[in-house]
Amino acid sequence: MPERADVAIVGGGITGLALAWELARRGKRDVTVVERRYTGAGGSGRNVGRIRAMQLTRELAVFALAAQRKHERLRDELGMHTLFWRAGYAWVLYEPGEVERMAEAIPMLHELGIPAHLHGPAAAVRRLPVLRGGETPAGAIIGRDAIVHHDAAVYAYRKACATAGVRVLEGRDVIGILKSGDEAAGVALGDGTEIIAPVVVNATDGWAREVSAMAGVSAPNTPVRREVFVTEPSKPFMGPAISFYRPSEGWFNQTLRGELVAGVVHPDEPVAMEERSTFGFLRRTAGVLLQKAPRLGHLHVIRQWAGVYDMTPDRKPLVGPVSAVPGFVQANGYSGRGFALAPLVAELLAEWLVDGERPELLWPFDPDRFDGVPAPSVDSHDYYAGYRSESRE
Amino acid sequence: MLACEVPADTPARIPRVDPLRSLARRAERLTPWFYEERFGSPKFLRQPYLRVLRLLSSAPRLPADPVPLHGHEEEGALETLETEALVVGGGPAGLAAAAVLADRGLEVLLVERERSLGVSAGWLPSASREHDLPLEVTVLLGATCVGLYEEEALAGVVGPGGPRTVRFDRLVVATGAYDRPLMYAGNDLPGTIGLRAFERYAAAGSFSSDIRVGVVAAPGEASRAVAAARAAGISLAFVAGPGEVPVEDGPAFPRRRLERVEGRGRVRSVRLEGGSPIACDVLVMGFTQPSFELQVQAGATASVSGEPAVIVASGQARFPTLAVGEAAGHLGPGTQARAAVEAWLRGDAPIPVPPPELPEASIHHPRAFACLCEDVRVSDLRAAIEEGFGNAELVKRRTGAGTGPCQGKLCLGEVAAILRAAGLPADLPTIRPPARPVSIAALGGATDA
Repeated sequence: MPERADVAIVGGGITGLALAWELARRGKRDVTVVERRYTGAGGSGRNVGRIRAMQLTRELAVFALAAQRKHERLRDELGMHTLFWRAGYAWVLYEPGEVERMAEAIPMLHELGIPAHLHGPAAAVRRLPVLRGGETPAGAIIGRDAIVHHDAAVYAYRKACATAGVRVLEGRDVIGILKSGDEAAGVALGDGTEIIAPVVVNATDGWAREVSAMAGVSAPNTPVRREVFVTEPSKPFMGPAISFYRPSEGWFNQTLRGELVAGVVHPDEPVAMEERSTFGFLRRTAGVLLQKAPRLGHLHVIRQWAGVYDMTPDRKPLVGPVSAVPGFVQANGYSGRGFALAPLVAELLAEWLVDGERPELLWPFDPDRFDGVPAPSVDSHDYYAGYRSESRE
Repeated sequence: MLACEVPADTPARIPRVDPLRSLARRAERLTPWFYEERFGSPKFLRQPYLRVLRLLSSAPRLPADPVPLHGHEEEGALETLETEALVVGGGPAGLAAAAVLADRGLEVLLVERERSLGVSAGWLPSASREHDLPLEVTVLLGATCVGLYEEEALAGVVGPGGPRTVRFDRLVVATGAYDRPLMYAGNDLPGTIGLRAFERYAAAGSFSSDIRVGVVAAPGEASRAVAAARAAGISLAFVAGPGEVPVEDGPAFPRRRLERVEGRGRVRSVRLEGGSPIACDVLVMGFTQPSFELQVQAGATASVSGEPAVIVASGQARFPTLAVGEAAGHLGPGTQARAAVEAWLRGDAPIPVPPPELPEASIHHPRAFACLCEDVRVSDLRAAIEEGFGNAELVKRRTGAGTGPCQGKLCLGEVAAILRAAGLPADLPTIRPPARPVSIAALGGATDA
């Protein structure tokens, strides 16, 4: 006897849970979320919860700012605190050309009401004292962005889903998308269960291409690994979260609990669904941190892990019903911003699925925009590559 | 002791009382998800709340001086060592294993965290201080095996000369064991010490004669505690345990459960079930959790068994792997290692040593701390499970148990036991590297440590 649902969501990360809850509070209560491992096992549990509105392009910045406000509202909407913390955010720039290039974005950010200020080398180190004794930056752009506790946010949604009557199946894998003619008709699980549903949502990010293929949809998503390490906690030693892009891309910040989390990207990270961690990463990240913030050398690394960025060629997610397979809905391809954007994406997509009208903010994320584009490739290792063309417009 | 990286050869110092300490003690009474309902309103106080919360951290301060960069090399290719057999741990078991492997003509690399070999033999009165390591064995002292990496199919080692990778055909894990805490009321009181730490401190002469030392231990561990005390000239206030305990000149309480430990700010007395309080300043807890991280990273299956429940690594790894000594569940200082390696080289499968099934050693108390690193109580774990966080990964993320500096070495056995008691599978979260905390300076090759 097959089960039935109005909406079947594949993936129990923040996108899947948030969408289920947003649908339920709009009256669509017959929703089933299917998660292969446990809620938050993928990208939702493998990120560091940075909620950044400062983005390089207007399109992304507009959305990211609205998404940040959504995160800020979660305490009131879900009734649970997600530890949304305005730690601040700094782009630390080590090449003069970078300063020029990044400074171009500042007027755009200000116009949108996103505070961001460019500081020269001395002021940058004064405002980011953790950099003392390290390589002198060429400048820094510092804003007021936030960090949330990713587990707190995922579990707030998880509890809200349970209260709203959403079915969340953990430890169950989707092995096929059921179709009736061209249309999506539900999902088939590995244990033989079928869930009949007129709407199937692909909220799997790193596995999105695979799940799209089950529905006969060819998606441009390519997963690229990102690794993280975390140290033992210390008393507060740094404020704003730091990112840098040249000569190598990386980032570090202190969590609310006092740990340092850090990662430096491998220039030739293989494009694959890869969640194993490497020793080379530890050594690479430690080496770069010692150059930039040598005081951090005292800290002890206690754990490392890896997750993926689900990259799209233009670094923008795919959100909405796919025209080739009616009933099949994408909510993936976040390109490393999933945790920040997911709550707003879920809210808007739920509106769309309930009202039938696409919210304006979701237009740039049209899931069909790569149709007919021959095998778009993702240049995974140059941070600026994905933004270059658009920002020059 | 191994779990927490506190050097034992420096005199122990009790840190100055932090003025925030009383606040922090109150904070320990809160559930790990206390913030969920609080810190919510009024809205304008949300950010100030978080700032205060952050300042209340009782974690140590990060030293202000930068790590000196001399000796730091620009990133080049990571040095890779190749060997036929990698032995991790240069205690009695690791030394015996390395000797056998070298005798059989294998190329052996031995990695030891201490600055000299056989250090642990110096604390164990029964262990031989002699070791005749063949000259052909390459020894890396002051080096930590950080973990085994599947994708790269190698071990990561950090020590003098910077980080290195090691490729090997065979692996011998001789990384010892941890002292497993029990879940009785007052199990976090200062003055509680594990058997292995006690042996080390006793051998270093750290206990003055006016300190009253009590022991609660499994039978084998109780004998070790008694031997260590005798060798150091410490007369024990009492020896108790769930099984038999050696009867010495002091009071012995075999087959007794520990009820609670009492004291304000530190251990003052110990109460055994049905007895009156016994005055004591230091309580030695002797229950054993063999080290398991490297075996599990090598591909062995981790399961939970025994009473008290401990994590046991068993089954096939991705490459020939043998645990010896305490890491294999033996309490003796490496006496079985030689025979085990010989059998292994003949192709015999290692004979697993099941963990002891003792009668319950203490009365479980819901307010006892299961995760001592992150202040997670037994009641917090049960509450999370009741809320539907029904497996080890979810419990870990919900409560923070196992995410502190010891990475679950001391608590995952108990977490699994609590899951099992709730009728759920007693599983474990992923055992991630590093197997031991390792400094960013050492990883970056900036220092010799």
